[in-house]
Amino acid sequence: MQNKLSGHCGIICLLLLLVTACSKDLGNYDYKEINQCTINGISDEYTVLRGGNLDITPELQFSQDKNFDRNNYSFKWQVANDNQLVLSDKPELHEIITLPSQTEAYTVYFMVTEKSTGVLWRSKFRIRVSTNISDGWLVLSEANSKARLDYLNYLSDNEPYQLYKDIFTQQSGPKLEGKPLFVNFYYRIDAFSNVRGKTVVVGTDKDTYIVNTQTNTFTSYINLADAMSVYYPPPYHAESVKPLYASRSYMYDNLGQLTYEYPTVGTAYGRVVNRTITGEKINISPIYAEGIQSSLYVLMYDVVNRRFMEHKEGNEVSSVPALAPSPLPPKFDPGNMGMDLMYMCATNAVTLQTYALLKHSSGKVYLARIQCDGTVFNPLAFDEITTYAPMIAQATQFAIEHSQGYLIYLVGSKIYRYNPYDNTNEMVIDMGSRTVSLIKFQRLLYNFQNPRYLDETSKLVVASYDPASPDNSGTLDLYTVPALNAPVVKYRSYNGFGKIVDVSYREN
Amino acid sequence: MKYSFVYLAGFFFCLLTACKKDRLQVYDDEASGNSIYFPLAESTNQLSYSFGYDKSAVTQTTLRVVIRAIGAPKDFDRPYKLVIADSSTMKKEVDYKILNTETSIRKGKVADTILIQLNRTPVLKTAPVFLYLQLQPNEHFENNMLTRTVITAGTVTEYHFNRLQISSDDIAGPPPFWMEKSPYYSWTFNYLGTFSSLKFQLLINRFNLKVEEVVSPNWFTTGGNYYRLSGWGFGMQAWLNRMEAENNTVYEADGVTKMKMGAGVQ
Repeated sequence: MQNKLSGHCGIICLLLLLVTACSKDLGNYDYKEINQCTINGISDEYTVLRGGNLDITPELQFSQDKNFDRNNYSFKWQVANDNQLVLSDKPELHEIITLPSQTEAYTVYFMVTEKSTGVLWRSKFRIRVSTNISDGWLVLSEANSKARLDYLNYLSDNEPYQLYKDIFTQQSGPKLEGKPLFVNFYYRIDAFSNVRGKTVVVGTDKDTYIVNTQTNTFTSYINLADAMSVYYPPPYHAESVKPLYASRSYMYDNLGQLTYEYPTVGTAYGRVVNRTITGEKINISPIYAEGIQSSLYVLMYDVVNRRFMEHKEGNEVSSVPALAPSPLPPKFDPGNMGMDLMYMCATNAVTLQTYALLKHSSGKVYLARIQCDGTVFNPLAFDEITTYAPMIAQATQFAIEHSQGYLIYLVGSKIYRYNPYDNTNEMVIDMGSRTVSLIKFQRLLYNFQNPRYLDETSKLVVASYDPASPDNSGTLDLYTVPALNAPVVKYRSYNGFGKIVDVSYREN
Repeated sequence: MKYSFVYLAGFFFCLLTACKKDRLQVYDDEASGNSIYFPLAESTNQLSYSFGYDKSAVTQTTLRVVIRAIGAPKDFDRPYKLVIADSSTMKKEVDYKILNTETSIRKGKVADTILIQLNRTPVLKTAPVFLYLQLQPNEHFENNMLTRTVITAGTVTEYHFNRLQISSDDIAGPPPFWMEKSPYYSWTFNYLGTFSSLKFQLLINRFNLKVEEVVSPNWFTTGGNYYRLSGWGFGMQAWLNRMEAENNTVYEADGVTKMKMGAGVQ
């Protein structure tokens, strides 16, 4: 009996399961092969000049449409940007690319839709649009009594740079009036609008223009007045703009004021730092040494009291550098130098030293080497160098080589190299009858780990012209300056300039 | 043995009847009716537009209001009844204009969009004007889905799905950090001074700012933005000084008061 009951229960349970086993199922299991498309022949990335042609012929293979009737499909080449630009609706792309150039590549989809079913296949690739404007030398010169900016554009490793003459006129940039003063480059952030950009700043004795070349064009620019936090009535312009790493920069104006821009805290040019804590203006030399690191630091020279002054980040005024306590007597007293400043520059060479050349009333020239930044002011050396480099007292231009720390200087049309670490002094380049208008070592601000940039900017820049035809005989020569006092070798030479006043390197 | 047969018969009966294709349950138009409503009213009954931050060249804007019906689409056009309440303070053809030629849910559709053009009339400068819309039942639609109840801190509020308030003004009010009740007001006031719509508009235009970002509630405390106020204060004051020096002095809307930024930038 017991067995029988449990048998019945089992069968009842089974029946219950059977009753409930089938519940509503609305799925469609009537499978059918659909057409499949394979897209080949599209690379991952294409590089094209803005305004240049882009031709892509994809290979399409359909599983159920071997003869490929294009009327059965619609096509779309669409850019995945804000306005979803459609480049073409044809099965092949043969278009002129007018997308603005930018650092990042555009993502583009090629889409094939089967009209009868709406089934869509797509293939993704990238288009990198450049204007051909890449990294290169910005060359500011004076030609026919006018300021002109030319641009030497990098093309490839084995080619010479391509010259864009008068790039502002050519590419609808600002119109330069007055005599050229300086050109510089930095990744600027506008303190008011927060707009970022690879910025070229160009100054003449009339105007200062800040040109945002982020999209590799020169059409977007503002006047210095629009970047100022204080209004100064005209004539007002920058005498120099010296960028630091991380978008900060110093600007020295025609009123003898040094101000700074610190956009991430909303500070635009206009806060004068060459003041004492009591508010008195310090008359500084137009030659100042902006720091190498990212925070604000500048070493100035008070031409009245003949002493060093420094401004540090966080301070609104400047002060005489304080020496760290030391058992040894200091090499010099920064607050009482008693000499005139000839040249000053911070260098990457040899543990980030700042060099300052000072001339004594006796005619002797001294080289001060200083380790200084926002936290320390340490005089490393103070040497009378006229003994080794007698011509230096007559020098008119100077440059410091980045890796060996050579001091390069110009006397007449002869260029000398003085090595402060072994006191050797040698004439390295004789420009003969040409007038040298500039010697310079370009300091990289951002791409200092890029070997190509490093190599290019390790060269000594020598700009010269023929005094008989200064408007079109300008030459820019680059020299390799090897270690261990080895001979200087010409690397590349470019001509077609006016009287070159300044050069800078546009980092991309 | 006898029982076994019964069980077996039952078993087969079950097998035969167990699986039956069931029809998909769909909305029953007949039983439930076709209610008409504003989908926007599922979250809010208010739609407002301010010309205050627009450039002066902007004279009108068009709002799109979606109307939706519950139930299946029909194979004929179904006009619906859109009523403008008498309490509306917007004047027809002056402050607003409904651009649709007919108000109807097209055949095969379950929704329609009304285009309401708002005009930037002078009256908007003083105070906002309102337009009250209501969808009423007619031969095609009901109001069965009428309200939703929201309880906030014990207070019960009923919101109508068939009502919508549209407001429009031309007043650029202060962004949150420039409101006197804001905890950041003293900071703002120090750099930017007293608020005025004109000053704010000039600031936006001069520094090419995105107004929708600046007026958003948390803008001030996001990403160190508050630092920018000192820059704006100094930069605007420099520009105001420049304008004055060039004999283009900038005045407030009254035409008498010289525009001036905060004390911290003087």
